[in-house]
Amino acid sequence: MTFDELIVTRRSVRQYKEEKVEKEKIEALVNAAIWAPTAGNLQLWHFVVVQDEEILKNIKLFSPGMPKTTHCIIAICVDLADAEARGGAFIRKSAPVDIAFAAQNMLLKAHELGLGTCVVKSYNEKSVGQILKLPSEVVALMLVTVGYYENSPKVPVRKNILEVIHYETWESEEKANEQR
Amino acid sequence: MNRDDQDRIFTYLITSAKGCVEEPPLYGPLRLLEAYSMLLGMLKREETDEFYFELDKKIEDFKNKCMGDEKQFVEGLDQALESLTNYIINK
Repeated sequence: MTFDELIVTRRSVRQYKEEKVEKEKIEALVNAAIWAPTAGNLQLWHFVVVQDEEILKNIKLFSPGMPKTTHCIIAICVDLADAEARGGAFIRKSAPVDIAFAAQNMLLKAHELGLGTCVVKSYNEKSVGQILKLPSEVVALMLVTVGYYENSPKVPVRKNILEVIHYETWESEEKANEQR
Repeated sequence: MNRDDQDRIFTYLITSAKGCVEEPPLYGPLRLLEAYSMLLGMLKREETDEFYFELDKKIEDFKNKCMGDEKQFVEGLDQALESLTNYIINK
């Protein structure tokens, strides 16, 4: 698969098979994640991999946005105290960006390996933190579900790039002409 | 409704209530529809009317549109409600 194909054919998968994701594939995803850009090279991320059905069941209880058939979750976590100590208050803003970069690497790597993924943000951070036994300063900023799947979701609608691209300034000449 | 079912629906409702404070507005209706499906799934087939299972299938078809096509999502909701109203009036 070419890089462009990888980007364009990736989908958010919400229906998984029961087949367990192998440890080496999980580690390949995390290895892709840790090569993402990171502010000040702080590498604040930690990855909690959950495949235990009892823990999964409890996380699902507090995650309204979680696909029901999920059998593997990677929680991307940040130690906020450590982050602030090393990066100052600014890091509270940049940490979620770093996490998103890392997640995107994981999603693309998973797609290359034939795995489906879905980013989940609709969950209660405190409850999930309790379930994962995170230290008080550590927060799960994003959950990524991973698994094998049968059917690829439908192709979503995307805006044409002409609707979103701006040259030099917001009101570029092309945009101004369009509006006339 | 067994204890596991109680855990599922109660945690879902309370977690969703907190989530709806900050989440996109259309997630509110989505959570209510999910709760409907969840409650229905906790009933035995003979404990309720077949209509409600059929309605659930229709809801399943448009439910996730809230993340990409608001118009279709709202139309789906309107149709589900119309169908429910007809059912209640005529039963």
